[in-house]
Amino acid sequence: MNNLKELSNKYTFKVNKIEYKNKVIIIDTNTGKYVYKDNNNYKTYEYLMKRGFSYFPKPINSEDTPYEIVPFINEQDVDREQKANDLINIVSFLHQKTFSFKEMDLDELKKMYEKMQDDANYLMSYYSDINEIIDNTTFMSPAMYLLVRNIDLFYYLITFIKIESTTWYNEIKNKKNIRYVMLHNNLDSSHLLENNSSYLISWDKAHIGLSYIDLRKILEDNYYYLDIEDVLEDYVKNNKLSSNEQLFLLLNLAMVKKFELSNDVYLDCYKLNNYIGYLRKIALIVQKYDKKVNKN
Amino acid sequence: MKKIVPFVKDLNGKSNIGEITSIALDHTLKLNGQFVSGEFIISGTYKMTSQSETEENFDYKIPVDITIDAKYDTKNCTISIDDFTYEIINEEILRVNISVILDDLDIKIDEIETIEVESIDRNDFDSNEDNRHESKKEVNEISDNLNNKSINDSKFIDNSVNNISVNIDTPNNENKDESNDLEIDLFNNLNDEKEYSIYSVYTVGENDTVELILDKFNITREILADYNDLDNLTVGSKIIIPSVDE
Repeated sequence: MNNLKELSNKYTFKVNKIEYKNKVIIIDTNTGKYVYKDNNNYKTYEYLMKRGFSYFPKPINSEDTPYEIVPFINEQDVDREQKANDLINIVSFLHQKTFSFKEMDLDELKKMYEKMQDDANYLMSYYSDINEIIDNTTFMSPAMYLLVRNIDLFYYLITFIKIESTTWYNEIKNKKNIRYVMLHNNLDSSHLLENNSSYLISWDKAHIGLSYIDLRKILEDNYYYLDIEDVLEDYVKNNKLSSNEQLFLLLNLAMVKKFELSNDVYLDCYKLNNYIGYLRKIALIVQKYDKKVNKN
Repeated sequence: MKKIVPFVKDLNGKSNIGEITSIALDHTLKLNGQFVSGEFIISGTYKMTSQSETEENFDYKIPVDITIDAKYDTKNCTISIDDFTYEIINEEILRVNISVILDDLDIKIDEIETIEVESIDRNDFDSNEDNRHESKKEVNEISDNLNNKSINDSKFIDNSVNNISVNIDTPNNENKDESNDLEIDLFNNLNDEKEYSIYSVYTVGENDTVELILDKFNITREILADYNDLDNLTVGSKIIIPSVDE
C-alpha cells in the first residue's frame, strides 16, 4: 500500500497501529479498526446486497477506488466443529439467495457429461497403474501402503461416476436447465468471522458457477468435524434441489482427485489420510444412494 | 497545523530473515508539554527462508523522543502514524521507515504578536534600543531551539519549522543593520561637535552702524556676515549675534 497518507486524509483517520498480515493491512485508527486490501469487490457486494445476502463486512470505500476498506471484525472464539457447521449454513444461504438457472444447449450439456466420463476413465487408468507399480515395489513407503490399502475406495467412487453420470445426462438433456449460484470460491474456515453475527471475508475469487465447487471445498477441509450426510440433507432442503440436481452434486463431490505421491512421505501420509477420510464419508452417501436406486 | 516527523531504523534479526509473514507497528508515544516520548513497538512473524514451513516471532521496542519548538501550542496536539514501510536488507537487517504526524499544533498568540511588532519596527525610522534588544533576544531564542534538535531517535519538528525560523530571522537582521546605521549617525554628531553656540537677536537702532555692532558684541565682521545679510541692514532689522561658549 502506497497511499496510507491518502487514506488518512480521505477518511480523516488518525492511525495508531498498522499491521501487515498476508495480503491485507489492518489499520487501527481513532475512528475504529479497518482492513485495507488492494482489490475492490464493490460490485460483488452490490450484487449480494441486491440478492438479499448481507453476511460480509460492508466497505466504506466507493466503487471507483482501486482498494477496499472494511471495518475490522473482532472474532469470538468458536470451536472448529461449530465453525464448520456455521460455514456450511452460511454458504447454503448464499447459494439459496443467489441461484439462477441457465438454459444450456445440448452440446454444452454433452460436453459436461463427456468431461465427467473422460475424467473417470483417466482416473481409473491412473489408479490402476499406481496400484500395479506399488504392487511391484519391494519396499513400499507408508504413503504407498495407505493408498493401496484403500484403492478399492477410489475404484468404487470412479465406477459410480462412470455409471451415474450417464443417468444424470439422460435426465438433464430433456430439461436443459442448470443451476448456477454465486460462488465464494475461497471457503477457508478462517474466512468466516463470527461475533454477534457472521461475516464471510475474502471475496476476491467470487464468481457465478456450479454450487458443488464451494461445497466440496468445505466438506474436504472439514469432513472430520461434519456429519456430511446431515449437512447435505440440509443443503438440499434449503436450496430445494431436484433429484437430478442432487445426483449432479453427488457426482461432483465423489469425483476423485488425482493424488500424486511426492518425496515427502510424511506430508503424503498426512494429505492422503485426510483425503481418504473425506472419500469414506462420501462413499457412505453413495452407498445409500445406490441402495435407494436399486430398491426403486 | 500538521507536522510530519520521519524515522528510519535498521533492526538486526536474531537469525536470517527470508520473508516477513506479518508485521505490526504500534506506539506508546505520549505528549508531555513540548516533548513527545514513548516507544515504537514493532512485532510480527518471519520465515528464515521463503521455503520454510515454520515461522519465528520478532519483537522490537524503539525508544523515541521528539522536542517541539516552544513557539507551538501543543494543547490540542494529537499523535498518529502517517506511514509505515519495511524492507529486508542483506537477509539480516530489517529496515523500517516510520512517519509520525503531530497534528493540531498552533502557533502561540504572543509569538505571532512579536512577529508583527518586528515587522512594524522594520519600517519605522524611529526604532529604539528596546525594540532592537527584544528582536535580538527573539533571534537568540529561536537559535537555541534549533540547537536543541537531536539527531538519532529524538527529532525536532521538521524542516518547515526551520523555514519559519529562517523567515523570522531574516527581517530581524535587516532591522538590526538599519538601526545600527542610525545609531552611528547620531553619535557621530554628538562626538564630532566640540563646541556649540548660543545665539542672541539684536534690533538695529537709528544711530547703529556695522562697526558699532561689531564692537558692541566683540565679534568679527566675517562671523556676523555668516549669519546675516549685512548689505541690506535698515533701522529695525533683526540680526543674529552668535556668542562664543560660556
